[in-house]
Amino acid sequence: MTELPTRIRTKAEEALETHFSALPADDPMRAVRESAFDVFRSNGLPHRRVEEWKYTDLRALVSDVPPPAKPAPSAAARDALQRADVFAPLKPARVVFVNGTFVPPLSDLEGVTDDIDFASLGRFIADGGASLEGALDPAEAPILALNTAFVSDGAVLRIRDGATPTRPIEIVNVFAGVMPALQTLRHQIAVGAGAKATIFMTFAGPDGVAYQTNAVTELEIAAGAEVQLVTAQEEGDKAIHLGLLLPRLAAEVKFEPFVYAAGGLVARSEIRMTFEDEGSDVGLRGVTIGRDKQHLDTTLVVTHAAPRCGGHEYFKAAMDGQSQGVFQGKIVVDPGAQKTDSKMMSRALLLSESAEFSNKPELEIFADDVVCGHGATSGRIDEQMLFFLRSRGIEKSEAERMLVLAFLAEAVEMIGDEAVVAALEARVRRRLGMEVETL
Amino acid sequence: MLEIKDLCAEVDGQKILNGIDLTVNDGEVHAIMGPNGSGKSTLSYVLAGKDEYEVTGGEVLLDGENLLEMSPDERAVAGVFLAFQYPVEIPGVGTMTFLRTALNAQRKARGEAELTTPDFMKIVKEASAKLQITQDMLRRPLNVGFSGGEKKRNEIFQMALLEPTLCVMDETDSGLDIDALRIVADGVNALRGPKRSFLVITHYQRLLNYIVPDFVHVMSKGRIVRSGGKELALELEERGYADYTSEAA
Repeated sequence: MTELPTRIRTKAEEALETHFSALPADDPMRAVRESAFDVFRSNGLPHRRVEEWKYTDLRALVSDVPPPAKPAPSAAARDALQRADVFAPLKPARVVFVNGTFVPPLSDLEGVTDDIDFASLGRFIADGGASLEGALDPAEAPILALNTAFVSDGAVLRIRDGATPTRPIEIVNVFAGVMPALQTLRHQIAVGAGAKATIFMTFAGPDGVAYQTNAVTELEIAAGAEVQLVTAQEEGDKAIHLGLLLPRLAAEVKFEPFVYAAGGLVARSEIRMTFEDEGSDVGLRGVTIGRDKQHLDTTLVVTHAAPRCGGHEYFKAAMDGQSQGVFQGKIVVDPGAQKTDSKMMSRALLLSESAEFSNKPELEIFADDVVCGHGATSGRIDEQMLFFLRSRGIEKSEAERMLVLAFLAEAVEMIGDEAVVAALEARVRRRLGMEVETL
Repeated sequence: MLEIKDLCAEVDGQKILNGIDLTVNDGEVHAIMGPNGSGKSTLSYVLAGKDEYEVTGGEVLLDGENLLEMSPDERAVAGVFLAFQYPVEIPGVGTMTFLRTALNAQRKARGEAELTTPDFMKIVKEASAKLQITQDMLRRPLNVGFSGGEKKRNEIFQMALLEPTLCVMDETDSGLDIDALRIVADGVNALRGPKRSFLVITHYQRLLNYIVPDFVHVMSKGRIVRSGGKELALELEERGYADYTSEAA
């Protein structure tokens, strides 16, 4: 083994080293894990001198890493699940993971069993057949390296060719317990040709517990499929959430991913998407709500590796207290990806003197017949609008909440599915401290 | 009843109001006219409580209470309504939602019961018909896509719903054609009553043919330089403001 340059390891990095060596030596996936952990070992936790992590320096933000989580007792699991009710009005089919382990008694796939195939990754890990490599080079994504090293379970979900499940399918990831622990999940979703599906990805956990979530979702969408993927990240207020979504799109795909990020003390939602074939269209959107001392990062890398695809990204954030928001949006257009239409917009509202937002748009364009654009704004609540509402008798903080809701709702309302819009808007209202309205 | 005594105000360090004295009794309609820059709009903003305007002297009493100490929303609850010259558009805030929130916020602050949805819808239906505010307009976000005339009608519509006791109308007639003017004037006249007073700020005499004032005041350089009955408006129409613009501040 090559001599690695000596570098002072942080407490968190030492902890990861300790936890890794405590993993079972007889694990059939051990070699794959070693290889991934080696990558992590040589780079350490990403820090501000790594371009993609300059605004989210994990060496500074993560002071320690707790040991891998143990399965939760069923009563605690059931309790924890109550928090993950954002999509309840839509009555989705659910596969439930608690502390990184699949819990069949809490799951429900009734009515969709003819449309999908599901197995838990844990089963494949146990017999050494889990396919953890090949999605992406772990050197390119620290979240992935750690995920491969520690993953315990996940959803292996296939939506069959031509299927149109009558219920949305929700993958629920909850943490249960009062002791900090690390849960690591890998979800592998394949949507068959011509299928039409709505998938929810939910994260929830208790406040006051410094647990950590590492969740990687590989998503392959075959030709002509239509997929709506809505993520609700509502981790507890002391949690660390590192999420990575890896969509790969075949030809003529319609894909609408939406990320609602409001939880965690430190959270990063990374999406690295590739258009692998022609004629696909993606509306990639999200809403972030920050308060207190939260650090919430959204990082996108959209690669057009094929011509004639359209990508429209629209992200809004409202940051209060001393929270910090980050939006990094990179669009890469490969040579030959002619007739690409790719636009990206990030808008942030700063609600307090100490709130911060960093916007980093990047365009790497190597084809010459394309339309690409980006925009980024950050600012305060419009004084004229605020004064108007107050002049009608609406008191200041209620007027501010109305304006923040209006600002964020614009992005939510771009979701085509009205029931999903209603569910998310209710959540946004609740998060802003407003009544959940019915008019 | 509104009592303004020696009111002075400035914005960005510039003196705009230089000692306004004015009393408006219940039920009265007062017109404020004057050339550009005389401080008419500033007076309306100071009464409504806009942040940027700093009161540097004098006092304003509404029914004996110190208005200047109240926040904009408190003033609304106390019965002040400002019909804006340039009503703002608020994307994402539905007109109906806004109306109900405002109405109930004021009722709650006064210790009155909030309106139920059916009662609210009933009031809205009546008031909107009178001002030709359509269902389509009500469904849209506040003022978004409204023409100038529609925005002004929407201001008077809000006035009708909120039932203020002091209505300050800041150049409501600007940008209105004759038909829109008539609708707005009818709306205002329907609200006239013994417990309600109006401060109608206008540039042109024309509006005052429809909303006939009890008193007319001329402002110049931040002061009221002449007061009279409704005939004063006609006199100004004939002679212009030249007689008053030379008045020293």
